[in-house]
Amino acid sequence: MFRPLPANVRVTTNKTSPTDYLLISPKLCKSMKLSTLCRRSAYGGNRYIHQTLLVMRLTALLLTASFLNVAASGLSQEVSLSGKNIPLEKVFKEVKKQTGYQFMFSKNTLDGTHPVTVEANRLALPDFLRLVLKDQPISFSINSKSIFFFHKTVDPGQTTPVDTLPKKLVMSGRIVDVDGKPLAGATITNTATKNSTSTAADGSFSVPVQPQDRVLVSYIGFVSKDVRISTAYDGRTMVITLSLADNALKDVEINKGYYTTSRRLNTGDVSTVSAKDIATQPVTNVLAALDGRVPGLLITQTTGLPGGSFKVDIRGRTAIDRTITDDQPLFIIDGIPAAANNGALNTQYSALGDPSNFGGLSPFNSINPSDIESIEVLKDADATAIYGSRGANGVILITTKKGKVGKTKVDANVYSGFSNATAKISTLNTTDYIAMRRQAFANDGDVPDASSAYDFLVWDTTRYHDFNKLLGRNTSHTQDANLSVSGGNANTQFLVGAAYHNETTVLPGDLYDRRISAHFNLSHNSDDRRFKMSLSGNYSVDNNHLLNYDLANYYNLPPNLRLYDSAGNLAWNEGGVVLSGPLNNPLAYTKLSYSLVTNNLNADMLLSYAITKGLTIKTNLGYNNIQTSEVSLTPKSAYAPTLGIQNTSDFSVNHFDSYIVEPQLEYSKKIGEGKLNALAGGSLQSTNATSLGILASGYPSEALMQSLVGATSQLGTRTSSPYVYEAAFGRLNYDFKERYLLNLTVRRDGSSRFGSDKRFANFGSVGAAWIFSDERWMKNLSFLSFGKLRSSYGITGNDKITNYQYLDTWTTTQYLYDGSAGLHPTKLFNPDYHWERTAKFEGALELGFINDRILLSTIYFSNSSSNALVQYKLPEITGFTSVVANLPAKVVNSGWEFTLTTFNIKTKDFTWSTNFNITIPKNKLVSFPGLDNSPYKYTYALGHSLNVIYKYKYTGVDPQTGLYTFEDKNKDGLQDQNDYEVQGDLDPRFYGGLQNSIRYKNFTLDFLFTFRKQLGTTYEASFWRMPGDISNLPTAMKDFWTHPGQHATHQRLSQDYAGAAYQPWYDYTYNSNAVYGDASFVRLKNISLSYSLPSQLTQKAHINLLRIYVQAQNLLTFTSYKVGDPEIQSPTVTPPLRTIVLGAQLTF
Amino acid sequence: MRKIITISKYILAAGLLIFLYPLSSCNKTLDIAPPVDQLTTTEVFMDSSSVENAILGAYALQATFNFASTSFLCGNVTLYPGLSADELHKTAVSSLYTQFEQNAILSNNSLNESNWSSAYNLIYQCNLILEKLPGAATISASQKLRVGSEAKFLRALNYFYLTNEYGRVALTTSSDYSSNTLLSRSDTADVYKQVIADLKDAEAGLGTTYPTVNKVRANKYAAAALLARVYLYQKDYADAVTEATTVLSSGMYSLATPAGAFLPNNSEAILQLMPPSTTQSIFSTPEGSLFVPAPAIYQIIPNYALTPGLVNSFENGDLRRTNWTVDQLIQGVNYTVPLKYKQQFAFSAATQEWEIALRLADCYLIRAEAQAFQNHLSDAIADLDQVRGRAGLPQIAGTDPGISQPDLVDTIFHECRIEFFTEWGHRWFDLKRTGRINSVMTAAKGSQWKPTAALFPIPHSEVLAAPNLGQNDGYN
Repeated sequence: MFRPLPANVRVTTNKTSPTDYLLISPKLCKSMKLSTLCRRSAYGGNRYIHQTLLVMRLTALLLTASFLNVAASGLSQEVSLSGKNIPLEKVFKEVKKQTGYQFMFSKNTLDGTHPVTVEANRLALPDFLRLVLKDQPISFSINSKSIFFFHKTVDPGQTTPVDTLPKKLVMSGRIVDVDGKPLAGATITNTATKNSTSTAADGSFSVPVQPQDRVLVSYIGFVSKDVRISTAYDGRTMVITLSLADNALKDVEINKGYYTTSRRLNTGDVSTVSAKDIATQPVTNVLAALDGRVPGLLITQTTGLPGGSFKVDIRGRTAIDRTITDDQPLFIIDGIPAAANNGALNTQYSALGDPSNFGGLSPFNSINPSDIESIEVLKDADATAIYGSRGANGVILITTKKGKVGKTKVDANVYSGFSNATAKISTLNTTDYIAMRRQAFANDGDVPDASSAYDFLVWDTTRYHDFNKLLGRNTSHTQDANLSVSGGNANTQFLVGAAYHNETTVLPGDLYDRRISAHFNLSHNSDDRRFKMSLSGNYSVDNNHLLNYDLANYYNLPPNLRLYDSAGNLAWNEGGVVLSGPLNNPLAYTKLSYSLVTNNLNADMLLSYAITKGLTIKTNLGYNNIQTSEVSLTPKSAYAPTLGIQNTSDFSVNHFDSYIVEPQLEYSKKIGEGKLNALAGGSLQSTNATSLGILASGYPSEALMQSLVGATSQLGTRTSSPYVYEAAFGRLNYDFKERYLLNLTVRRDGSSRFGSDKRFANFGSVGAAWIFSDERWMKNLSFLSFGKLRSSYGITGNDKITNYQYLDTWTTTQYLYDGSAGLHPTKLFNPDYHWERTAKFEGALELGFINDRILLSTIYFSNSSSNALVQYKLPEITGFTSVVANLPAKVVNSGWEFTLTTFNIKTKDFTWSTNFNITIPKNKLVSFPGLDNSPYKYTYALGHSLNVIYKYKYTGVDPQTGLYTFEDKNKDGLQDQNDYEVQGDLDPRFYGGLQNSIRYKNFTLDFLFTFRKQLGTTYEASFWRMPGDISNLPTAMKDFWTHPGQHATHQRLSQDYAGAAYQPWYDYTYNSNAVYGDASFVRLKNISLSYSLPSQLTQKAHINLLRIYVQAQNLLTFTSYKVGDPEIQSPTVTPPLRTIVLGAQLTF
Repeated sequence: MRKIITISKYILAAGLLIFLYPLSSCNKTLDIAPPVDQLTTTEVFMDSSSVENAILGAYALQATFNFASTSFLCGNVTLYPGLSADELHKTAVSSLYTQFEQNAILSNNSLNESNWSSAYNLIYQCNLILEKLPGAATISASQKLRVGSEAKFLRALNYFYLTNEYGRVALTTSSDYSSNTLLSRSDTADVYKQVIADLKDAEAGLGTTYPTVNKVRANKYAAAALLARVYLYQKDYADAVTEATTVLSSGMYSLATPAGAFLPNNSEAILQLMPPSTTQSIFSTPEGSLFVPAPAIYQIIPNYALTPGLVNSFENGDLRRTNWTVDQLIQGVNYTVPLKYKQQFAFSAATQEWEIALRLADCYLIRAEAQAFQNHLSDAIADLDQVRGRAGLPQIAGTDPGISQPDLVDTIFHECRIEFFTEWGHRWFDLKRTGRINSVMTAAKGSQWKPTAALFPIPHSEVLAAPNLGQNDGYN
């Protein structure tokens, strides 16, 4: 595996990061006509310039050089050369021929050098150069594909050996970015003395150095630079330029939760979505910003109303029984597990849907997206096994912004805009509606009369309402304002911010979701940098003021339903027909108010102390508290007075508490040519969710409904659901030559969700990576700038099961008996069930081409989930029908993920980069012992996805009877569940996103397309009345059967539920594959165009940045899906909104 | 600086302590507080009042029903055997019910399945109570004895009816689902053995007074009354007489007037199931909710009617015909509707009605039959005449004092049919235990009758889920 070095050369290997030599020859300086940048030294006569500044000016040259190199394929970065007494000039020529590197030196540089005798066989270029320049008066620096040479000593008169007369020097300088803007808060560390400092607001710094010391300059988001202090350095001010790290595999820090690594050295699968990507999207919920950006991550919006939930799916479904388990990923915010994870924060049904079935208020609605620095999505075993029993479905880490060193910075950002529903549903007008109704009566052979056909015999037939437009297509408005102040010195940094977000809805009425949030971070380190602490806090109050029902649901009311009476009041009847039930006046539902106030506090403290070199102890302490208060009012004025509805109020208060204590010990040590990193830690987490509900009714007055005063009936419930979790974990990482990487993680977990004998389990993973592009024999593939093979395997678990399932609990009986409450057992109990287990395998190939300007990542994964927790079917002689148990069924989620990132154009004024990702998933139920005798017999099919469509096969409309027909699969003449057949599944065939970022001078354009190829439910699946009944139909629904012999798309219209049309319609709608169709779509998910005022202008006004932008979300959707939105897949739910905002950002 | 180092040291020390803590993998940390809205079995049996609630819960479960879903002994036991026998007719065709009436029950009939499961759900609770009581350290011996006896009584009550409906049934006497899943069905003799043992214990363990002022929980005599019936069904006539006499000579009960026999705490009631309070449920008794017809003025066909065979069997002047049935002339057709319970809805009731589980008339007729089979004819006639007298009918002692033993047995059998029509399956079970079922049912329902229909099928889902259960003959 390791290629032995040739024995006949002496090589001084330097395995630390490449070193840039600070100084270049003054002659070069002169020759490059950069004299203006040169400063006269204290010693006089010698001119020095900063290499970094030079590089800036050399960008164009270097780019040319690198392009030249690309063309020169077959050249290597290894040198083979042998000969005696060869002049250096000749050596260089030969090396240039072999490697394609440009040799940059001025004429006089080689003065004083002597010929060399060398014998090298495939020696790495830097090693070779070091060898031949040993004892020579010149030194070199490699930058990209150019090698600069310069005199080692600039003062020939200086003879004092460095080590005998150490100089006390202070290195001072400024750190800037490629645009010359100062970088405040960059860290400068003298690696020899460990002295460290940070740059001030103007980018300036000073740090004590000695010649030959090395200074590491680093700044988050930029490529770090390692600077060696020349023996000749005399303390002049230097300007060091850092370049952005968006392509640097090495310098982008990857957060893996308990530890960080670099993209280059990462052995696992971690995707990052940065603040920059989030900032381009005018979204309330940060989950919306993840859609399409991460391969293997599927985000599905459940409603277009503000505050709604998002389904999050990392690499496929694993839950067989969704009534007791959950396969959402683990969410961690600043190190604290989100108290409610991705579960709804509320308990009552509202316009946001059913909180117990993926609806309700999203917990991430409480988080201001602008407070987020980055989101990491952990997918494979290597990345998730350290989360043990909770990592089976992936982990999502959310990290909030921190203060940075520098002058106090004020950042203000405001935007405002409007939104509309993406999908319109056009329904029949009154004339067509009545014709449709009459046809139904004619088909049934029934004569319409006032009791069955009041909608067109009694009601005014000249009236027309487009209910979809009236109820669900209003314009909603959004206002957002963010203000943050940050700054700090080398020891202490801070950030405080506040934000306001207001969003109205597309429903009629004064409805809104309003959030006020505050965020702070305080970081401190001691002067010696051994002690560090960081305290972060987020607090938000969200007021979600909606209705009890999503009015989009009422799009199909009869178009001539009366809304107002002649006096202009809400109408309750027409022609004596009282509106009630589903035909209630929909505007009356605007009187059903629903208010949900959420308070969310997230506080996290991180303490660390370096005990000795390489050994650090740290502790993470976190607390998350969420409180929601719901008030749902049903005043009797929302219903016809004749119905005798009582004033009813429903109050709920939910509390979620979560705290975590995580002490850790970290150790790192260089061993030989490798680096060992070890981490050991413990975790103690406690979460409690309590809920208090009161249902009160019988208020004498609607004015009292916010209280309990006057309620004649009050029913209360209270539940509490604690969860405790503890773990010990460890990680061992060995990095040999930055080329061979091994990462082992283990975790031992205990969870209170299991019986006392089954609480603990062990999890672990092995991850390995090989950066083969660094192998010598790969060097001749110069177009390949990076190549890494990595793989991981491990076991993770899932303990996301309802609490207390292992307990033998009793509850009160439904009715009192003999005046007292009775108790009865709630279920059979099984104290022996344990974790669901997922064994994850991943193999990946990561390639970088043309100096990493093209990055391609190809991933294959296969996750096998077993021991699924289900309600295991039992005979009823046991007293109950099931018990919670681990089912030996196995579900395999496998698939391919591809990510292609290209930096198409990269010049000073014009940059264009593209990111494309696609995921091809496959979900398969591999085994399920006893499936045929389980409650899942008619739900799942072996060998198919858990989201299988297992129903009757629809075989069209019978031309003679005009009724829907289905295949009698077993030919027994009966249409029953035994005729179910697999008809595909609801998993996406593939999905992904395509993002482009284009910057031209001060303009930036970002746009993201997301796409999904999938089957979905059509609008017909949401019908609960037969077409022909008193309910409007979408105009897209055409071609109903009318006469024998006709080949029609839909069966005959009918309004007779006792007639022949009913059962076929029922089977069609609920039991067949007829209501599934193509729901694929391509969406222009996000587009953002911004313009920053030129810095010359802004600097005059003493501001750093003034940017104006226009952003749009869900601007365009391309789909063949009819009636409704292909993501929501139901016309009865408000679809995702198309939002356009205009904003401005000001930083000073 | 110095200060920071000092602080750091403390943090280091504290950190190390915290560090070691979770690593101890302490199981105790994971012991979470029990749910606030539920009790664990341990908690239930720690407290005398919750133990009381546990047994009350069993009664509550026994008495729970809704209009659409009656339960095993609350509605079902009257309805399904009533339809299966020759006494009750469902006026509207409804496949699931018609299967009972036509004695052609499919094994996947959902009514039959929930009938079966509600019995076992209750038996589970009784088993659990009986398992946990002995170890309940803080519960007094007397309470343990009484609650245990009530649990045994309820278990016996359910097994008695189960075995009479299904024949051989799974006999679960523990709460262990893993072993119960594998049970095969026990012979009826073994089921009865268990029933008798439970009832003997219950009779011995229960007091003569009821646990509360109402006759809605078992006392000694409830156990004795049921035991008398069990002995009669077993043809153990001597023991049947003994047990029936225990009740009849207790001095606590007397026959009520026909109009008062189903009212709360009436003198005839030995055990009643109390319906939910009017604020909790709109229905009164299950029979009331099932049978009470709409006022004739609405001309709505009643859901259920008595068969003409039964209606014609009433003697002239029988007070039970006028008090316990009503004739509804709807669209020219007369329907005789069972009306032992007269209240359909609880809230409209001037007087309440409670479901009768055991009443004194049963004890008279049990003893009459047992005495008749032992040839103690005059004793038998005396008991029979008690029941006839209450119905306003002439006394056998007066009209036919010299009646032969077979005729007397037949007369008692007939009396049972009239006294207990549409009441807890009496007719169906009497037909079966006396061996008359095939002749009577062939006469009533024609050639469609099959002897195997005497037993209900084991629910199909149960046959699939319990590997050793098997099915009754005649069903698949």
